[in-house]
Amino acid sequence: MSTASAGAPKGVELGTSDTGAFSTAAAVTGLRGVSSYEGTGVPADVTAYGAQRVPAGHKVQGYESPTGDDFGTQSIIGADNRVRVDPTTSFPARATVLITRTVNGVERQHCTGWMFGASLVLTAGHCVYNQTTGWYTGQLRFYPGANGTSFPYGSCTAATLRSNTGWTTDGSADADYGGATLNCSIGNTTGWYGAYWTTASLNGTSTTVQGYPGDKAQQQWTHSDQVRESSSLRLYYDNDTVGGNSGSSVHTVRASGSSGCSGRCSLAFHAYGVGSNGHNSGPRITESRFNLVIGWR
Amino acid sequence: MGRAHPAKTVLLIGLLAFGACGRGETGSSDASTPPSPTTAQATFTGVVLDGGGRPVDGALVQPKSLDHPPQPVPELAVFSGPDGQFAWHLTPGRYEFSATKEGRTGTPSEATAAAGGTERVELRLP
Repeated sequence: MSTASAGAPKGVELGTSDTGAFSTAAAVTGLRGVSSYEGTGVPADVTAYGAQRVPAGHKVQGYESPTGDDFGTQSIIGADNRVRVDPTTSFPARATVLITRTVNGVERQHCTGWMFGASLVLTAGHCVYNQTTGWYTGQLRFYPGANGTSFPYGSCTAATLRSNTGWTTDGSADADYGGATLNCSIGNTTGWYGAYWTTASLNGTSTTVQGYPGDKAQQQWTHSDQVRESSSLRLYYDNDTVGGNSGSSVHTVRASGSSGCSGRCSLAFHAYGVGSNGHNSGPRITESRFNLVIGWR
Repeated sequence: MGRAHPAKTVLLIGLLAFGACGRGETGSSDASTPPSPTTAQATFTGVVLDGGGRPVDGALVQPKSLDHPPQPVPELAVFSGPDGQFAWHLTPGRYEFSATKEGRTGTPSEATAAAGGTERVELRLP
């Protein structure tokens, strides 16, 4: 794919080029990204963007702890410090996407995604492709900014599910990311997250994971932490998450004018609860991954 | 490798992403020929039942790795269906599964499965 400036998508900033030489201490640090776009707000008619209206009270099967107690999973690290996002019509809540999966006519909460263009949602690879059963074609529905039983941006379906062979062929957890090209352009009103890659260490960088945990009945919840460990292909952090948070953007907030990306800037795709080093984790956005997902727009 | 002409450098970025770092990744989609599903995962199927042995619909079923060190678990939301059935596809190993619905969490059940294997789990809600 070309990365020439003339052919680059609008808003892409070309920084210092990078050869992927992570192991060379003397290598010039590369960084490139695209800034977030805050969109235009709640549309009067979501069908103008090709989305389907969803009546208030539409029932997605899910679960909510009546007591609000700590759910008690490994991936809630220490106390449960998640905070509900309500309402969900401001940015980036409205660019955060509830993904449902319908099996045998029953639609249930499944994963989280994040808008990364007018018609592109990014998520975890295992949210779109299962190594044992294949693609979830025809089973997924996307609700930007869902808020319990309220769906201010309607819903869209996938025209194309996307991932990479690192996940679909090799099954590598380090490559567990994917996406969906939607049959709507709802991102024009919800806005979309930015993203950037860097070869520099991200340890200590603040992280926010905002999405739809399976114990909260289609409500959006957020929690902030920081990068605790990083490898060239994976980031580790202690944000509190639960099944259903897969695919959330692991993002940081960067000031206007920051190199590569300003605003809400994704660093990784949340995918896994606590592993061997005691942290939650997700595939890191690298140069080649950034180039790949930009090409999905 | 040395960097030569700036224009060439720009053109080379995409190639280098797939070459020099050795970890370039190629896109795949359901619009192209799908890869054959592999059997590297372990499958855990099961059923959630209530105290009377009736299937429970819509219980959130979550695995916890019991291996040392623990396996990272994909953070999918997996619910039992109207017939109480559920399925998890995980890295092979030993897991503890628990079902939760309406504030009730049943006693966890352990199961171990190898790559390509299928293990059955029965979960009870009080």
